[in-house]
Amino acid sequence: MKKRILTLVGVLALVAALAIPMAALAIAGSNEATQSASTAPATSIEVRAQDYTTAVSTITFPSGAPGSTISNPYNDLAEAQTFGAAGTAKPVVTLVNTAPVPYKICYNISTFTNSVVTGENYLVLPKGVGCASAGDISNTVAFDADTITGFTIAETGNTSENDKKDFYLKVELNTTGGQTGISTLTILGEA
Amino acid sequence: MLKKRYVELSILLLLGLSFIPSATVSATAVDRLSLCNLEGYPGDTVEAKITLEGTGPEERSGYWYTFYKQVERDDDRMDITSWIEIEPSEYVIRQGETKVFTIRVKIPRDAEPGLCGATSEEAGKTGHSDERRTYIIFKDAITGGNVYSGLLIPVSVKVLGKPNPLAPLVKIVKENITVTALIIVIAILLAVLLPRVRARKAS
Repeated sequence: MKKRILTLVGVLALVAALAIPMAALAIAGSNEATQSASTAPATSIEVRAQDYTTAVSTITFPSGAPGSTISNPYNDLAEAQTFGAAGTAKPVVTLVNTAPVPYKICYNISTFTNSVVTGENYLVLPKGVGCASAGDISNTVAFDADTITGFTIAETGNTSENDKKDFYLKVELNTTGGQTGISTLTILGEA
Repeated sequence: MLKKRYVELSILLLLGLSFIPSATVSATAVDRLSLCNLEGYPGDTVEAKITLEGTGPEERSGYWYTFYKQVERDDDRMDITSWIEIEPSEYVIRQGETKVFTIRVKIPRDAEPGLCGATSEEAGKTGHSDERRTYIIFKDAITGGNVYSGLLIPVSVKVLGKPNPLAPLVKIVKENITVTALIIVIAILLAVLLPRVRARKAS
């Protein structure tokens, strides 16, 4: 009798072991279509030249009289910032978003060494709209702080080309002459 | 004749040049735009990986750091920058290269249960900037340059309450559900049938 019970238990265990995976297979074999999706890495906002294509690595402000405002910086392709109507004005650099998501634009500008600059202003504009004068560059820079601006840059391929922005800068020089200072500009994006 | 050949050659050269693709630039890419709703108990270290990819033709040098976006009336649960370590914190990346970084979030032993580093579990979703407080940031520039670009990546942690002592057992059962079901069936059968055997033997 004991042998029969043990045999029965063994058979039941075997049946269960086979039945459970078979049931799972039966479900998997039903009318289902496989779907797949993937995400691509997101690039950060690119800082480019006036052609919205070429990389920029430095921005330089030409020397000026102590205490003066310098509003004609140039990038390492020797492209200077200029003012005027749409089509005439040229930013010192452009911002381009190649990511599939829009970003809030943030910046961080470090304090100039030797305190050569006492204040700085920036302006972000849609591509090619023009900037009439240095006076229009009105947003005051908070040095050494990651600052989230009110500007956004659209996702790549935006039909209105809002994935490209013009970036203008101006600085106020210290009143002491004969000094040179350096600083770094950081453009950050937040999705 | 020679002049005509020169003209033809010049046209061909011009045509050829027009088909040379212009060099496009790209900044560094990242595989995750948020590290929100990580989970752990007080005293735990939660680890996450994040990968950067060099997409531009120029070598770029950069680094990682933490950032707290201070907002009025924030409590001390929002700034968890001191909990975060990024390894390595500095990098140099070239086109086609990928670099993996380890983000370690060390939850203090005295941390109270609840969400830390953000005001809502929705903070990780695109456009939910207002709900974020703690970030990790990477930024880099063409080596030697002074123009950096990068991204803010929000981080938040759900600090869990006292761990359930049965949690490891529940996990094992869930992971081996088929075997567990079999064991239960066998146990029930034995429990039902063995007393009968004994009863028959005794009789």
